[in-house]
Amino acid sequence: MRTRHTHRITRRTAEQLLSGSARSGPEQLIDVLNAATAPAREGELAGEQAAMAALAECEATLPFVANHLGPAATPGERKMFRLPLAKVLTVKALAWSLVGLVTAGAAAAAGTVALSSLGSASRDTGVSSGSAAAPRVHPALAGNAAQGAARGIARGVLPAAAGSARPASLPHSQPLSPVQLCTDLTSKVEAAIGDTEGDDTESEQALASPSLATVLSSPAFEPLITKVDDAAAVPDYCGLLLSLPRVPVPGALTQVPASVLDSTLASLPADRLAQVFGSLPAGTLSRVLGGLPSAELGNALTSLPAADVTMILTTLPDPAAGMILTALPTSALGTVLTELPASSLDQVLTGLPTSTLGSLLVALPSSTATEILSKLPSTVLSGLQGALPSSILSQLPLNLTTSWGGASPP
Amino acid sequence: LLTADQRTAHNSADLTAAVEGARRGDAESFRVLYRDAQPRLLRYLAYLVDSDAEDIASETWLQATRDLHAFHGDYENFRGWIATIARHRAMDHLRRRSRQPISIPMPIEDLTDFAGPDDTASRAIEAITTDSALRLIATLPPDQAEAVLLRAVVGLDAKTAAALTGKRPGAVRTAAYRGLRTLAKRLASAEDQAAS
Repeated sequence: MRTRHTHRITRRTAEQLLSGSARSGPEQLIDVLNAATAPAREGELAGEQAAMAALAECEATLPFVANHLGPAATPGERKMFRLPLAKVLTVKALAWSLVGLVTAGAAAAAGTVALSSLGSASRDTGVSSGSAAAPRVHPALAGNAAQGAARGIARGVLPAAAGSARPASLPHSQPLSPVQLCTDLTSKVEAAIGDTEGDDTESEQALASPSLATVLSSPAFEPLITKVDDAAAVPDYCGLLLSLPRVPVPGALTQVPASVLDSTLASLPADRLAQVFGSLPAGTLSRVLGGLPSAELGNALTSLPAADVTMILTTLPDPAAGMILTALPTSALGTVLTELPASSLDQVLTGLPTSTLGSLLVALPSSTATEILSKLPSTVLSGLQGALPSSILSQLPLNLTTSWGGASPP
Repeated sequence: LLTADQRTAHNSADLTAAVEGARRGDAESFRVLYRDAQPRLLRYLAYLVDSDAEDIASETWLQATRDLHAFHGDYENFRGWIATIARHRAMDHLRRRSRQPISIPMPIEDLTDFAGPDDTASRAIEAITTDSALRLIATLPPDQAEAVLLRAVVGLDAKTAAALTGKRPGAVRTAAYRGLRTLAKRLASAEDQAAS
């Protein structure tokens, strides 16, 4: 209850008063504190429009600094340095950043520290295609410009330069690469959900997090959604691009368009690819592999260690395994099957419908077919012999028939 | 400005989302932050730099828009962050003007009818406006006044307010409690005088 007269305020009451949650205490003091924290009065928000303009200008001049030259390396960036391809992309990003900074430097009438310090580089190198669109400010004047802009905000007036610096007129508006966007996306979601360590697991969690939708709704990430047709496919696409060991949302991997998926998978190192495939549920894996163009499927499977191919083929439902094997180009099929250890080969081949097996064997060069079949135990071979139609058997290499004959004595 | 309960109930998540949005350059998110934080900053800055508060607040927002991309944290962190910028700007300003770091926060013309803490307390009771409330808080000893403003008006916790002022959290807590007790005492005695 509220009391009129009390000089004795306990620490607990004081805490409640300070946080605005007091339900008891000196009445007058509560009223004073309520008045001190009353909603914004007219005039207190007079500078809003000018502050918004200052923000718009910063956005127009600083996106690369914001994304790539911030003081803290984002988790993605740290990870990227382990990968040669990503390293190249990072170097490119830095190069673009510098071009963006140098050329946009003159537009920085608001006089940021970063831009004013690079302003001299702009003059020295003469790389200043942005200067035609924006007024040039001598670095020494940058501080004054900032001061002036600040005064402008105070009076509710747009800073003079705000109108002259439009994103479209600046050369830095070169689009970010998908890897850069994904790195940015991941670190922003991590920040939103409070993860700061940034290891692979946390990157996966960030990409799988419900907070992703909010961050992803920014126009900055539109290119990512456009790339994969559907926002639901973005987490997995980014997971693959960032070379995470598992896709963040395994069930959604099939949302990624096959054309995007195959090029993304093709850029993954084999060990990572095997990890990713191994993390997928069988249904998703078969749909993913079955959706790949045969050339990419072949590349994917032949680049994997035999043990992983075995794991994949034996994990898949038999019809899917057959479909995938028949979808492989002949050369890849031969490589995959000859690399499989006999025990796995047995398991894979006997699981296939005989018609599928027949067409597989017929498609292979006879030497390869022979090599494959010679690995099979005689019991399997005789089973095949009985199961395969004579039209197929007649097309199989002669020495194969011989080996069959040897394996199954009359 | 809302009470802490309301903030917790309605605004904390929204404002944290707004911080994220503003970091990405989303104008509407930034507007949400501005509308919440600007009155808090102005009232705090008025204590530090009198009538220059608006200019210093503008410099604060200008720096904030530039550095927002490097900020990480939720809305509570954001409030501490921007209050820190505001205080640094205010201190720079005061150094430029070679003033005392802390001064009485009211326009010069108001000083003429400034009689003393008790008188200010009487006026605060008559019609408690935001201005009169802030003026009353400003009559506290500097460390108490700043502690009360940072905690109650800017909305910082003791730890953040301590980091901002370079004090220990315990010292900020104590200063704020003492400030509240002093205010309560003055208000009570002013009310007694008014009643008699």
